[in-house]
Amino acid sequence: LNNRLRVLRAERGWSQAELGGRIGVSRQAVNAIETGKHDPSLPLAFRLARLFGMTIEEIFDDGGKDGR
Amino acid sequence: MDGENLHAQQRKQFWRNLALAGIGAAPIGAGVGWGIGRSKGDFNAFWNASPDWLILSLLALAAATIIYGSWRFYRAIDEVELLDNLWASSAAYSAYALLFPAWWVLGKSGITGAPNHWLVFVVALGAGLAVYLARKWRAR
Repeated sequence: LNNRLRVLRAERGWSQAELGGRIGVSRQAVNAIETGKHDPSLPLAFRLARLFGMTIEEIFDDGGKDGR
Repeated sequence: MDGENLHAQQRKQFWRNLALAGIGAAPIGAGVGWGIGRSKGDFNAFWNASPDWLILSLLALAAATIIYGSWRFYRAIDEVELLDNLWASSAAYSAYALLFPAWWVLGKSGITGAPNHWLVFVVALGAGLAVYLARKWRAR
C-alpha cells in the first residue's frame, strides 16, 4: 500500500512519536506504516482517517490492485 | 494530552510492565540462589535436597509470572509488535517441529545419537529471537 502519511504528518508538524501517541501505536509502528513495511489493520486505518479528517482512500492507495 | 506525552506514557507503561516482571522473577532467582549457596554451589544437590513444596512453589510462581506478564504485555502492545511476536513464535515452533522429529528419526535409525532436548529447546528459542530481531531491524 502507498500512503500519504508522512506528508500529512509533516503538514501538521508532528513527529512519528506524536502521531503514534495520538493513534495508540509506537513510533516504530508509524515508521513501518509510512515506509510501507506494514499495512495497518482496518481499525487502525479508520483511526488514522478520523484523526486527519479524511477517508481511508484519501490516505492509502493500493494502486488499483484488486488483490487477486 | 498531546501525542508526544501519550507516546511517553505508553513507553513508561512498557518499562513498568518489565519492572513488574522483574519483581515477580526476583523471589524465584533469590530462592534458587539461596538454595544453591546452601548446597555449596552444587546445582544437582540443591534440587535433590529441596523439599517438593519449595520446587512446586517456585514453579507455580514462575508460571504465574509468565502468564500474568504475557497477558499484560499483549494488552499493552500495538499491532506491529503483535505481528513481530507472532512471526517469532511461528519461527520458534517451526524450528522445534522440524528439528526434533528429524533428529528423533535419525537417532532411531542409528545415524546420530538420541535427540538432545535442551539443544532443540535453545535452537527453537534462538530461531524465534533471530526472526524477532530481524523484523525489528527492518522496521527501525
